[in-house]
Amino acid sequence: MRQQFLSVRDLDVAYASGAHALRGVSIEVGAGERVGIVGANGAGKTTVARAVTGLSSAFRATVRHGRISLAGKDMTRWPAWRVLGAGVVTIPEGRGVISNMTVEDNLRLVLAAMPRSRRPAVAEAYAMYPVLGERRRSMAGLLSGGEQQMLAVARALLARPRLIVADELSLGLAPRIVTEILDGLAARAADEGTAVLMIEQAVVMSLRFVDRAYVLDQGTVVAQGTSDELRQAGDTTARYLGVADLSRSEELL
Amino acid sequence: MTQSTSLAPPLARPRAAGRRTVLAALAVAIIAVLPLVVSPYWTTVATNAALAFAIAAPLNLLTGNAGQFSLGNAAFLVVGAYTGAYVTFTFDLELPIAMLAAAAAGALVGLIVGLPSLRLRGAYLLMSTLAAHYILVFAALKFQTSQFGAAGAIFPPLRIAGVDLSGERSMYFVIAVFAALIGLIIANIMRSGHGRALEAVKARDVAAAACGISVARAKLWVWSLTSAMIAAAGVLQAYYLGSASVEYYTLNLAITYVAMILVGGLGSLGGSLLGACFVTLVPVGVNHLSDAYGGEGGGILAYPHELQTVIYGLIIIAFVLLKPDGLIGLVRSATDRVVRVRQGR
Amino acid sequence: MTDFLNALLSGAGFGALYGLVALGLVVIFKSTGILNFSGGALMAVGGVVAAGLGAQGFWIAAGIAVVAVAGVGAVANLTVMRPLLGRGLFPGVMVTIGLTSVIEGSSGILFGRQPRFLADPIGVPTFQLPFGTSMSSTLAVAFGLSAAATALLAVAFRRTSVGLQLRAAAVRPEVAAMFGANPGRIFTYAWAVAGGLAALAGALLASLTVADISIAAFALRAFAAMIVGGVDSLGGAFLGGILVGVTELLAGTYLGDDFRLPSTMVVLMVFLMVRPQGLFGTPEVVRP
Repeated sequence: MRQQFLSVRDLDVAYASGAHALRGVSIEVGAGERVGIVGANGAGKTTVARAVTGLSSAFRATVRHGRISLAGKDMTRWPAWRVLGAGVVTIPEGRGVISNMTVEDNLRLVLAAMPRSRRPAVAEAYAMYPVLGERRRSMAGLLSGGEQQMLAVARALLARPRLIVADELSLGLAPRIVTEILDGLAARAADEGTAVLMIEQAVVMSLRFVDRAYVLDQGTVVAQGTSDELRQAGDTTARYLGVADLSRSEELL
Repeated sequence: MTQSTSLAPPLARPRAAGRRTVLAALAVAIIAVLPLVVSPYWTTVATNAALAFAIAAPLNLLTGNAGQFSLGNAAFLVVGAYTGAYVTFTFDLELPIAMLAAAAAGALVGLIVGLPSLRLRGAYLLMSTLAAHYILVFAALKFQTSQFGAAGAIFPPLRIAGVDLSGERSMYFVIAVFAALIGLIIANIMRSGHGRALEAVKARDVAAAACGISVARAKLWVWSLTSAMIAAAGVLQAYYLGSASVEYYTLNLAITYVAMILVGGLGSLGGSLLGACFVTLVPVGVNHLSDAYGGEGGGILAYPHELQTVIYGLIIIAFVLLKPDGLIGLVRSATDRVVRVRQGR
Repeated sequence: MTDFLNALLSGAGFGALYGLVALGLVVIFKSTGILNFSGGALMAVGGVVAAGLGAQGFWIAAGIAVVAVAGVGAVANLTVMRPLLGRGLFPGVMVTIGLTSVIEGSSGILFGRQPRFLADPIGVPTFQLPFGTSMSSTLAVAFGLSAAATALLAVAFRRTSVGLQLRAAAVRPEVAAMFGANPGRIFTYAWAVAGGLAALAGALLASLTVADISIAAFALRAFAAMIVGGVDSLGGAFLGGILVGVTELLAGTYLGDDFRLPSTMVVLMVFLMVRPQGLFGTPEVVRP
C-alpha cells in the first residue's frame, strides 16, 4: 500500500447559483500515484479540481462539509495561493496560460512564488518541450492549442509539485498531440515521484494513463477501480461515461 | 451595484397593499404636523432632509435601478438653478413655471450627458460623468458671470400667486410637497413596465432586448428623466438657500447624494429617504457633540469640521463593507423578523 | 512664442506631477480593478507631511513623506480595500471616496489647518533657457522624478516577482492565485507604490505652491492622464499626464486661468468618446 497523499472525505460542494455539485465525494491519491476522475459533462469533475486547489470561492462555490487533507494536514478552506506552497499545482481547464504575457513570463510566474534558493531554471521547461524555448519571447496567446498545453504542463512541473491536478488536459487537442504531451508528463512524474490526479471526459485516453480511477455521476462516486477493472466493468459503468462499450471503444482509438 | 434589490412589489399581497396605504397616510400626517410640534431648528433639518430626498431619489433611480453610476448630479442642480433664475428674472415667472423650464433644460442636458452611456460602461462611463460635471459647472460659471455677476444669482423671497412663502415653515411645506411628488412619480415608475426596463438596462439583458425593450432608449429616457427631476429640485434648492453660485456645486456635493443612496439602500425609494435623512443628520449630530463637549482641551471634538469629514468617510466605508444593502436592508430584515414572530415561527 | 514655449515647459512639469498620481491609479486599477478616488488625498497628505518636516530640507522631508504615505496606502489595502476584490466598480469607488474623507479629516486633526510651505528641491529657483524661456526648477525636478519613477516601475513590473504576479493578477486573478500569488500581499505592494508616488507629487506640489489638504483637487487631472494614456499603461500614464498638463497650461495662457481645469476635462471627454482605450492602452471591453 502506498503512502496516502491527498485525501478527500465526504466532500459536499454547492454553487451560489443553487447547483449542488458534489454530494459526499471521497477520493484518495497516494504519493506518486496516477489517479483519474472520469464522468460525463456536468458530473462534478471540475468542481473537485477547484475544491482541491482552493478555487471554490473564486467560482462562487462553497464547501458545505467534508474534509480535504494533504499528507494528513487539513487544507479544506485554504486559499489557492497556499495550496501551491503545499505542493499541489494545477493544469487548469482551458490551460490557464496568460495570453498577454510571454512564454517565459508565464513560466517565471511559478518561480515568483517560490523561495529564491529552490527556484529551478526556466531552461528545464525548454528542455522538456523545445518548441517552448523557440518561442520563449512570443505572447502565450499566440501559441497553438497544443503548445499552450505544453506550456501549462511545463509550468506546473517547474513548481516541483508532489501532486499535479490536470483538468481536461485533452480538451480540443488532436490525439497525437495529447499523446506527446502525456508522454512528457508521465516521464517526468515517474522520475520525480509526482502524483497526478487526472480529470477527464475522454475516458479511454484517461484510463490508459492512470493506475486507477473514480467514476463520477451527478456529484457522487458511482464506481471506482483500477483501469483494467473499469474497462472490464459492465454496461452500467459505461453508461455513466456516455460510452457504449469500454472494451470496444478502446480498439477504436 | 453588487446588491440587486428586487423592487417589484409582490403583486399578490393585498395585505401588503393595505399596509402601504396606512403607511402613506401616516407619512402624510407626520409631514403635515411636524413643523407644528418641533422647534424651527428641527424644521430646518427636516426641510434639508426633504430636499436631499428629492435629489437622492431620482439619482437612486438612475444609479441604483438602472445601474448608471453618475457623479453628474451637482451639475444638473446648477443647470436647474440657473435656468430657473434666468426665466424668473427675465420673464418674471412664477416658481412652478421656472421649475418646469429647469426640468426641460435638465432633461436636455441629461440626455447629452447620458449619450456616452451608449458607448461606455463602468469606470469609463463614470469618468465621462466626472468630465461632464466640470464642463457643465464651468459653463455655469461663464453664464453666471455674464448674467448675474460674480456673486451668482440672488433669489427673491419665494412668492407663488402673490402669497409669500419665504418663511421657514412655508418653505418646509413647499419642499415637502415637491419631495412627495417626486417620491410618487418614482414609485409609479418602479411599479410600471418602465421599472422592468430599468432593470434590463442594469443587467444589459439580451433577453429584454429580444422582448422589445430597447436598452438604448430606456437608458436615455432614465438619464433624461432623472436629470429633469434633479434640475427642478435645483430651483427649489436655490430659492431655499436664497442664492445660487457655482462654488456651491462641487464634486463633493455630488458625492454627498451618492453617499445618501449608498447608505439608504441602492434601488430602493425607501432607501433614498432613509439615506437622505441619515446623511443630513450626521453634521447635526457631530455639531451637537462638539457643542456639548468640545470646549477647550476637548481633543478631537475641537475639530468639528474635520471630525465630520472623518465620520462621514467611515460611514461610507462601513456601509459598503458591512451593510451593502443599506439602512433599508436593516429595516427589511427587522420587519421580516416581526412578521415571522407574528406568524408563530 | 515665448509664452507658448513657457506653457509647454510648465505644462510638462505640472503634467509630470499628474503623471505621478496617475501612475499610482494605473497600478491599482490594472491589478485590482479598483478605480481609486483617493489619489488626491494621498497626494495632499504627502504634501502636508513633507511640509511639516520642512526643516529637514526638501529631500529628507519628501523621502519621509513618501514612506509614510506608502504605509497609509498599504494599511488602506489591508483594512478596507482587500474585502472589496471582485465586487465591481461602485463599492470600490465609494470606499476610496470614504477613504479620501477619512484621510483629509485626519490630516486636519493631526497636523492642523494652517497652510505650510516647503523649500525648493534644488537651490536655483528657476532655470533660464534659450529664447527667453524659463522653467521652475521644481517643475524640472518633477519632470525628471516622474520619468524616472515610470521607468523604474516599468522595469519592476517586468523583472520582479511581485511585478510579475501583479501583471498576471491584472488579467487572470484566479490563475495568478493558482500559481502562488497571494492577492492580499501583492495588492498591498500596489497600494504602497500608489501612496508613495502620490506623496512624491504632493511634496513637489507643496514646494511649488503651498501644502494644504485642499491641494487634493489638483489630482483630478490624474484621471484625465490615466484615460488619455490608457488605463493599463504605465508609460501612458506619464505621457498622458504631460499631454494633460500641456493642454492645461496652453488653455491657461491663451484662454484664461479659469479654463485650466475645464480644458483637461474636455480632453478627458474627447478621449472617452473617440479612443477610450487611450493612447497606449489595450483595446478591451469598455463598450456596454
